Amino acid sequence: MEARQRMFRLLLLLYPPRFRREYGGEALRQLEADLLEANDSGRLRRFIEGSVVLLDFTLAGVLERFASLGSRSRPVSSPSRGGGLMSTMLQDVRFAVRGFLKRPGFTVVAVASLALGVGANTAIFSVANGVLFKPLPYDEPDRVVQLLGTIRGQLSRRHSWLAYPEIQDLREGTKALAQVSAVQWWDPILYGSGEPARIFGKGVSACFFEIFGAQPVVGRFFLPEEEELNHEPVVVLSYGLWQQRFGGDPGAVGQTLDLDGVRYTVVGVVPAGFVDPFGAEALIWRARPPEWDATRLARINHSWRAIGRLAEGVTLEQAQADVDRVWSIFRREHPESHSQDGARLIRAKEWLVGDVETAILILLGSVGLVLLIACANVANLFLTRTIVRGREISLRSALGASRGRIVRQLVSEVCLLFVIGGAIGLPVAWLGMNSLLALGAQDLPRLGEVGIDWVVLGFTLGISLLSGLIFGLAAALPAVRSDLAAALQMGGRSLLGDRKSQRVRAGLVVAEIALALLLLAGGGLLLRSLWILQRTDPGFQPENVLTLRVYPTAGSYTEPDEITSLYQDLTAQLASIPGVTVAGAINFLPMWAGQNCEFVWRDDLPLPTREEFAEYDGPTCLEVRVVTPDYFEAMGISVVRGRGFTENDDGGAPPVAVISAATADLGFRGEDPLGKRVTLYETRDYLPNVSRQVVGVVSNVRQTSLAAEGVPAIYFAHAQEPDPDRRRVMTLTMRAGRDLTDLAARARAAVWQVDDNITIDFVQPMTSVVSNTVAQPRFRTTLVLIFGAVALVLAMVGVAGVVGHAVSQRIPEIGIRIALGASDRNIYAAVMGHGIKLTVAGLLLGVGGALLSTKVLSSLLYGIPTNDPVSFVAASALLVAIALVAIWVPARRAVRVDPVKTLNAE
Amino acid sequence: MERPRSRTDVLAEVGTRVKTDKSQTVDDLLPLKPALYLILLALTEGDRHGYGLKKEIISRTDGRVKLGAGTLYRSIRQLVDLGLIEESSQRPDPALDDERRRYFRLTRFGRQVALAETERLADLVRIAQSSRLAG
Repeated sequence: MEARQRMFRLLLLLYPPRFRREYGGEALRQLEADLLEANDSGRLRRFIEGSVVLLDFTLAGVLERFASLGSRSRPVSSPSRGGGLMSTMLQDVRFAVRGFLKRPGFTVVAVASLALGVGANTAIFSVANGVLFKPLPYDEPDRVVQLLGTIRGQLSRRHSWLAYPEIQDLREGTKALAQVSAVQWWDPILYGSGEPARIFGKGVSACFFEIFGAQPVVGRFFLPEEEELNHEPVVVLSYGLWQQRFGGDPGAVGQTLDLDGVRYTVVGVVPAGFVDPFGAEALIWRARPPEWDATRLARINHSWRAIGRLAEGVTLEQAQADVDRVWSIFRREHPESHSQDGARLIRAKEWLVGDVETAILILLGSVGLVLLIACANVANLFLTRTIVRGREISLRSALGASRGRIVRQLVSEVCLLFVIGGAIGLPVAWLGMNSLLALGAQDLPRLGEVGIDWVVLGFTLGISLLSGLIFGLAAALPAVRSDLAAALQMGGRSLLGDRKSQRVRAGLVVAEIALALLLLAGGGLLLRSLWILQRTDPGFQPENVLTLRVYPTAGSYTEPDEITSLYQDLTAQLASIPGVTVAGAINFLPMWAGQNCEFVWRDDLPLPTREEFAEYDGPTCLEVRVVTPDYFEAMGISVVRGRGFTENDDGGAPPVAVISAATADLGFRGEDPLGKRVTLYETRDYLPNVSRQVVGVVSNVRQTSLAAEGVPAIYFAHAQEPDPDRRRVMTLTMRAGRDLTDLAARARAAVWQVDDNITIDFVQPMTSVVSNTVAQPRFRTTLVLIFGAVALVLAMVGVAGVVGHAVSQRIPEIGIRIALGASDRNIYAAVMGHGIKLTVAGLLLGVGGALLSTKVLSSLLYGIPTNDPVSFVAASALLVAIALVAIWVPARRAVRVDPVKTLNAE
Repeated sequence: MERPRSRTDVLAEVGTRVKTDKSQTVDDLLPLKPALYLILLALTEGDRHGYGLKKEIISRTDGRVKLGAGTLYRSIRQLVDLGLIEESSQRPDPALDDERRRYFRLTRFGRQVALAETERLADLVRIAQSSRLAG
């Protein structure tokens, strides 16, 4: 809200002081009211209405300022005030304003392309600034580090979790880390007034908040004794939850909350701006729960994240060496658990934004190219204008104006244009930023920090002025350098600066085309990669599948059989909904939250020794999923061999397992897996190691995202699963014979018909689960394509301008040619040849540049190389086709030249 | 050759003329920009503040014309400078009133201009009706 007010105040500065004094306050209030009114409508309407209101306010400001400048200016400056730098500058500005008003077409095109360029740059920069450049809001943020697990020295997100005993030993064993906290996701159901709701939270060590140097708003954070086992259950609330549940009442401290059936005492509240480095959605933190008992937890149970704070004056490298030293002790003392693993320290910010960094920087680069093209275009327009104004410039020069004075005049015109473009670009940026945030950037980390602040405003002003100066000089110099006397004689029509400036303008256009092709090629690569990604077979058929997650009430269904029959009832109830053909359930839905990788080994092979396991380079674990009998059918996962699960695979029957095709390939190369027995070696001592017979093989499923290959998986029958954590909270999946409208409400009703105390969330069609995994690629592809299109349009305006100007310069010549009998084709060839040469030069330059620079995209592409010929050819063809139109339009004027008229004019 | 006067030129001049030339006549100001004309019409019913003007114009044009804050206050400034409207000292019941708001009323000159513009437009409509267009 504050940034918004600040921007409005800045916009008001466009208006002259007198207007601000008399009407400023009221106009601002009116602007707020206008925008508020627009807020009532739908998203698209709101966007359009908001844009209209803001543009109106900006334009009115510019016009008002022009009017006031115009009113005070006199054609001849009074001699008493002449001489001072300020007054010549003012004179320049007034002169420029009068010039702009006289040529509204030129002014509108130039200002509009600059506003677009500056606005888009500011919008993307505001995102980059918030997400990448701003330091994390911690005390000495560089001291906050993540500890990630490694396998064989390699870091991979999937295997980067640590075991609780490891974290505890690191805390005690390292000297370079002042604190180390274990972190585990915890999403309890909050009971109390209203419907029970699941809230996102974390379990953390008592020192967690000290790591960030955070101070509570009210109450306290966790005490050292709350790190001991069996302390009282205590929680710290996020600012948002405190406001929502307690209306911001400091008396919340000391009250209790019922979370999953346990009463937790609220001890404190974190400040509003606190950013949990593991995701901003956290609403609640509890101090070390009793389950975290290092003596009972295996050292290979990798289910925790760890975060720490470097001790005073310690570098990251020193801390890493210290961690490695402690890890070598682990290896000595627990050789069976630490044959391949290790830990790596990386700074919290790098971990938080590492994924999106490349994409944001590429967007920033692309949008920078758009601004470059816009600038080149304006310089081009200016150059044309300067040539046309040659006589005026020559005259002023002849009357004694110094070259410096003339250049200053021209440069200040360009600068003024850029500043106006920047000013109008600001609301464009604000709208752009908001639509970026609204349309697709939900998955960005640190979203709350994105906004228009002084750094962003400084950036806008900086790029406007800098590009104004550079391109202004480029546009002004050729005109002044050329032969003035000749120009004066020629009436400023043809020769003035033509050769030189023609070359500069041709150069600018070639550069524009090259840059536009660069963007188009990049956009083409991303588009093709996205297209391939979306056509990738996920291993199941998401169409017409609705999913919902259910949470049985805490304290109910404590017996294993009760949970089994609950899910039997739920799936039967869902399958009885008219239109639903089949319903199943799974503990972790593909492409949604959750992973559970466990060590599984064949019973007919001896367990690997430590040395063998250290050499072993296959998958060290299988993704374990627990499903009900109809799950495979409901999701459209095909059974490749053997069978799926049936109702008969219940608690009394011999335990069975179904494996994925990848597991069959890796574990049973060349053998028939059916009938073989496998055992999952549990990492928790209260669970038995169950041996199961493989009865079927199903097709591979992409478990994490469309882009990630299917990981080897193993499925267990829900009725046979001994671990309550794997079977209590499930996602129901149902396949409908028709589309899913109104099915969600019926499905909820069906669940509540079985048990109306069940909490339901994440009701969503499977298609949107899948499409969410490509939201980020889709988002950045859309942006790059938009930039590419804008770049193409701007470059084509440039080409058309150059060709059009050449045509108007050559009208007498063309007239003579026509008089001598040249056909339309000859004329087209003569006129268009120039434009085509420029296009081809730009094209070649652009393709070369693109081949070199699209390498930066490599990490964002899926299934194609960075020099994918299809994308390059398509981009070039599009550019050539549109360039031909852009050249043909002004060329048409040439064949319509009336030879008699032009010859008479000579 | 003299370029035809563009709207921007006219705007710039309308904004400045009052200072340089006090003795302008009604005819100098015609044709009036639609926004200015609508504001004058909205004020014939009584004094209004900025927001009231906006609402009055929306209701009179069935929502077809919504003046943005910028255009609205820019137009008010022009009308005040031209002497067509002035700030009103009258206030409605203080209980109903937000004292930060400024009220405007039509001047006599403003009423004349509005009338003259209305006649000019009516003439145009008559001409249009006598042509085939309206038949």
